[in-house]
Amino acid sequence: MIEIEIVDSSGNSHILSGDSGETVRDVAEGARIVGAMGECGGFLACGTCHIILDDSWAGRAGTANDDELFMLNGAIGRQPSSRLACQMTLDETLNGLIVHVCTA
Amino acid sequence: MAIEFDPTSATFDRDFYSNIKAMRENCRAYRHEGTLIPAVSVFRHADVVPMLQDWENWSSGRSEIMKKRGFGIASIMVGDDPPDHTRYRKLMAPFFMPVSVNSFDEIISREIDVAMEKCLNAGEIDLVEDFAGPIVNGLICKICGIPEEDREFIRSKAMLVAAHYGKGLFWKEPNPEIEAIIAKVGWEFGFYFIQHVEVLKKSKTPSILSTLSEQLAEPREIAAICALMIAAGLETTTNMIVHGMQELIRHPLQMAKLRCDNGLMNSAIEEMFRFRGTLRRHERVAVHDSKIDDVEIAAGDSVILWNASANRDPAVFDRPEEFLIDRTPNRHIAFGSGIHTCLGIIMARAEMRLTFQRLLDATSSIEETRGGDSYESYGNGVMDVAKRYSVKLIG
Repeated sequence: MIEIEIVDSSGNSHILSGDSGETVRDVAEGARIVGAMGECGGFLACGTCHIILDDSWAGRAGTANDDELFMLNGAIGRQPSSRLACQMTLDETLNGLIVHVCTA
Repeated sequence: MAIEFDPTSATFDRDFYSNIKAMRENCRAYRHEGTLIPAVSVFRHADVVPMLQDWENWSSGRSEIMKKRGFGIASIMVGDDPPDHTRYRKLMAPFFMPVSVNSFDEIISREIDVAMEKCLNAGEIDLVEDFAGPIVNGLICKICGIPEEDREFIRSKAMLVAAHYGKGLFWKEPNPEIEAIIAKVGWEFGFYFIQHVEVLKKSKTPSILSTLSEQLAEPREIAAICALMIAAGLETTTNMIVHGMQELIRHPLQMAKLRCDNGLMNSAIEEMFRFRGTLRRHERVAVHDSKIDDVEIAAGDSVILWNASANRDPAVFDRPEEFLIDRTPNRHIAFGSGIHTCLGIIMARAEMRLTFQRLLDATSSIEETRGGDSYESYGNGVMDVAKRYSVKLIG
């Protein structure tokens, strides 16, 4: 199991765990964390699972591909460490990941 | 006794939610007998969502079927699978993402100003024709560069489609009259938009349509994308405003709660989408032979996924038949799910939020004016379409 921390839009921290191969969105869906579940169910169709990597993880959690960047271009409150939760697939390197639901 | 589920029956729209509840409780899938197009309905959240998401096994490539029923022109993108779907979606998506929609707020607010001036303290008004329709139509027309004098044309044609849309799948006999009406709208829209885009280009008027047209090769595609934007964006939100208000009026405690706590606006709007979403079903085509319980589905059969039923499934929602504006979480699928998730989600929410905020801020009371006869529906059934809603907005 891989442990991640999602900080919701109210600033509450949720320590959650998921299996390798699941996405951050899948884990958020299981915990019903509004703002990280997205509308479309993880198909890169809506851009509504906008999360921001914690400063401590900036540059350490992979990079967005062109399709993800396309969707992020339309997001409000985009930051250099913005990602879509549906595009972040868990593996051992993300153990301890901390992300924040975008509140913009 | 065999269950009968006939979306073309005269009482289907009136009794929609009790019909759909009975079906959801009694069967996972239902084969419609004797329809011209072989069709199976599916009702439960646990079935509807995965089927909506699995485009490889449950295809949206139904353009051919739709063309036969006179809906061909508006089936582009929504009637396509990848890669065609992806190509069209990528062209349209940038216009409907949060950053773009933010710039619509000013237009929406202006349309609301005009509607409020006409309707507030004006005695009886029709919330459909005097208020919601003009606001939503005004926004769509504005962003498409459609001049004011053409707005009535757009709205009247869109209403004709909405009154009949989606029923063709359940016909047991050809219905040439309705097919002719819909086909005529298709041709009129096509002709109008091809000319309109040319005017926009010549006058260098910035609009979504002129930008899109630069990236689409064929006039048919331009016309189809334009028709889709109108079809998808106009009657859906117009009816959502009307039915959202109807539910608030029917539930005075919820209305009072919302008036007292502005912070509930977003969750109230989500509950309106869940409880009375305009599009009650989505359609897919089976790619392979399969079976749901004892209902056999053959490749090529149409499958009707009743999202309005899934949105009241007690397996997912507590007290699903109650309208609760503070419901949370509220994972409804009023906008679909998967790659075809409605592109206009953000825009629809903005229209609803700004409209209801203004309505509640500007009024002390909103009341029906004709008792039990205040509301009249087109009786479509598969789409929740209001014909008239007589109310008064009291400042």
